[in-house]
Amino acid sequence: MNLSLSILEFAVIGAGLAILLADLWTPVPQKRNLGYAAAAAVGLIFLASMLMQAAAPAYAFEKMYVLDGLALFFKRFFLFAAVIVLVMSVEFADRIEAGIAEYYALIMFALAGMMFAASANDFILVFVSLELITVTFYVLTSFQRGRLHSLEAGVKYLILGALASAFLVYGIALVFGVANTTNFGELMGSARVASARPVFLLGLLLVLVGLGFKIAAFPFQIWAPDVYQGSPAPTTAFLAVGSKAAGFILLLRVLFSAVPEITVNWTKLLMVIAGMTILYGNLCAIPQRNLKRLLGYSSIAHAGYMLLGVAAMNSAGSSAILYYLGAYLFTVLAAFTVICVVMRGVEGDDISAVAGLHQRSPLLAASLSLAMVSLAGIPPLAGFFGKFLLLKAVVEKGATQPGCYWLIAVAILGVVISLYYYLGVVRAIYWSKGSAELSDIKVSWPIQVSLYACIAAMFYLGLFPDRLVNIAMEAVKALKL
Amino acid sequence: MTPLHQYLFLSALLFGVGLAGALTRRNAIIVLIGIELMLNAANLNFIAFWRFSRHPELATGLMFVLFSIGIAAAEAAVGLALIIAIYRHYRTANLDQFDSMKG
Amino acid sequence: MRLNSTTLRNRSDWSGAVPIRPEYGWKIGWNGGSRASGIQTVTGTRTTHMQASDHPYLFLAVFLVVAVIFPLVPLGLARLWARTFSPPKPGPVKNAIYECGVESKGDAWIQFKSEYYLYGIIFLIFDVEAIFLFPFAVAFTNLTIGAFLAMMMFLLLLVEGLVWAWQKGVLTWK
Repeated sequence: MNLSLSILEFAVIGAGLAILLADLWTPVPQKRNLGYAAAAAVGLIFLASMLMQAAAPAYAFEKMYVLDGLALFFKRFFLFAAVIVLVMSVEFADRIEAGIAEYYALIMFALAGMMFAASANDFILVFVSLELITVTFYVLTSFQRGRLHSLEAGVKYLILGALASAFLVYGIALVFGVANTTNFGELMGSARVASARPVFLLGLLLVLVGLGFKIAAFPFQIWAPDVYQGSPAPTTAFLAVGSKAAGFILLLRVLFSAVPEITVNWTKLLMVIAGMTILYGNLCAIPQRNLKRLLGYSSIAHAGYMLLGVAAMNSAGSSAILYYLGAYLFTVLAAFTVICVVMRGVEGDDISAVAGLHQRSPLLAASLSLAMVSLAGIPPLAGFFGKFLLLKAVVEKGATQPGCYWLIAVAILGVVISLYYYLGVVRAIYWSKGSAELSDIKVSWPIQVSLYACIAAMFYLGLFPDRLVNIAMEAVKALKL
Repeated sequence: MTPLHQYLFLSALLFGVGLAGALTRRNAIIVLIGIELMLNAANLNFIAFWRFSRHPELATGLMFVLFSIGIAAAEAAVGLALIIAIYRHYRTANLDQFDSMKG
Repeated sequence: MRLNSTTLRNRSDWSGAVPIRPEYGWKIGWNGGSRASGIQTVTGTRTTHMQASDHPYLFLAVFLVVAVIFPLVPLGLARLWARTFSPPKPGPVKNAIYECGVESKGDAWIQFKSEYYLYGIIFLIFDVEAIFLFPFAVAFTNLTIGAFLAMMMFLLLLVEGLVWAWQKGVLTWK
């Protein structure tokens, strides 16, 4: 047992508890600034994670917890996302009636759950970390108690999330019943024998239902638009980036390190799901006028693109997912930071609220436009290279699986459709007529710093992708591909 | 000695009843009860599998059930708080009427 | 369907430290009339000079009988008293929901004080967290220092939650 491996998680939990306790003795006007303290603490932990190395996988808690390159990659990812989200929520503080310190603390607890998920090597840890994320998100989603949309989003997320976790637990129970273990390492040994049992396959399918819900893949995506629209903007950002990435790391671990022998038989299933998810997300996004809802549908589509990498079932595909998530992180966080600042006092988050944004604040307008262009996948921004890598991985797979070319056609069709609605937002910013409000928007310096960081990262990843690609290739060596 | 398959049958039945309740009933609290039934079906499965496994001294199944019960309680606490909060707005706990967001 | 001391001993060994033999463990259960035979089996296996009254399960049976008789007799007496001395004469006044006090109006789904729910939810959480103390208690004697400290951390987390709730004023009934 080596507790020092999970020192980052313990540090995050400790910082979250400290914020909760500090809240008790902080005067009310100062409570909002606890968010900066939280962001600074998470930032320090992020820097500390940069010093950590994981050459060989190290195990803790009876092999439930693994620290390898993949886990470390995702831990850094989550920590960085949480810093930006915390800065964003300080900006959002005046729209939350009570308990802003609890909001910060809950973000940190969800972060701890995501970091544990990155290291899950046992179904017990999969379940516990996933529920830690989901249950904190029920609260984060409905944190604006006075706003009907927020409460409604919370109830919808709760009902569907609880249903998905019931499927997940039942699936794990069936897997445990046949294989007699929940550990990924031991499962890999017995999966070949167990795969002959239909109950085992049923169990795995139910587990996939639970994980598919987290990433909003096709048949389990109905919650996403409502929840994205109703939640407070920082929650939506964290949901889009953190919760989705946590779903993907668990999916990769379950498919490629617990039961790789069975996964190879599921190529067709995964391909169909990926194609349907891309089409559904992109087609439904077209008529949307609500910016958060539009990004909700677009996040479904992006989950579909990332599933392409899963369906490719090679290390190129998995490393492309990691790269894509890295690009998605900066892009989506930039978009939601802008939404968080602009939509102050605007009910409905309608696209018309960003009309004439370039006159009100050039930085916000540029950030949102670049984010949209990157999401659409236009070079030279990060999003383009991510899609390129994913499609390349599927083409590699195409030699053995002719259906892959259909999938590529669907993906490219999806990209073409998405150009319409992403560029619609850009058009609304620069070329819309009759914008009602033209007062300048003041942007606080922490927000400016995080926006500049996101823009720089979008360009850097788009122009010099080698470094992140190498890191991603190194990280996916932990999987059995 | 009750054979394993009877436990599994009971648990599948419980899961089915819970799922049917969660999908057909409109009252949020009853839906939550249905979901709790589904979770308990999984717990029953775990205990039965653990008891009939070749290595019952490895307490994996028991451990999972402990975590599952704890998490279900947390979920229920958050769920009830949420339903009470939304009841104050809508004066109903009927899920069909929570439809302010569409599209 | 036998219920003997071997099964009972096995039941108390559920800590998992000793491998349990399923052929014993699952023989516990009642079906029609097995109770008496169970008692006889057990007394039969014991040394012969013991009386049947020595067995603990006999007391359970006696308690059961007493527990049924004890409330039934006064209830029966009360019914007898009512039939002879106060025969039922229903009327609109007598059938009102309350014979005294204010009549209830409106829906039962009214708002309670929010403290009520807070108490309920906090109780639920602390109540269920106690299940993690069960394995702790069972394995207490051969715990390592690390495991003990981990459990103390868990308890500290609970205390932290309590301190937080207390300081937030959740526990004061206004």
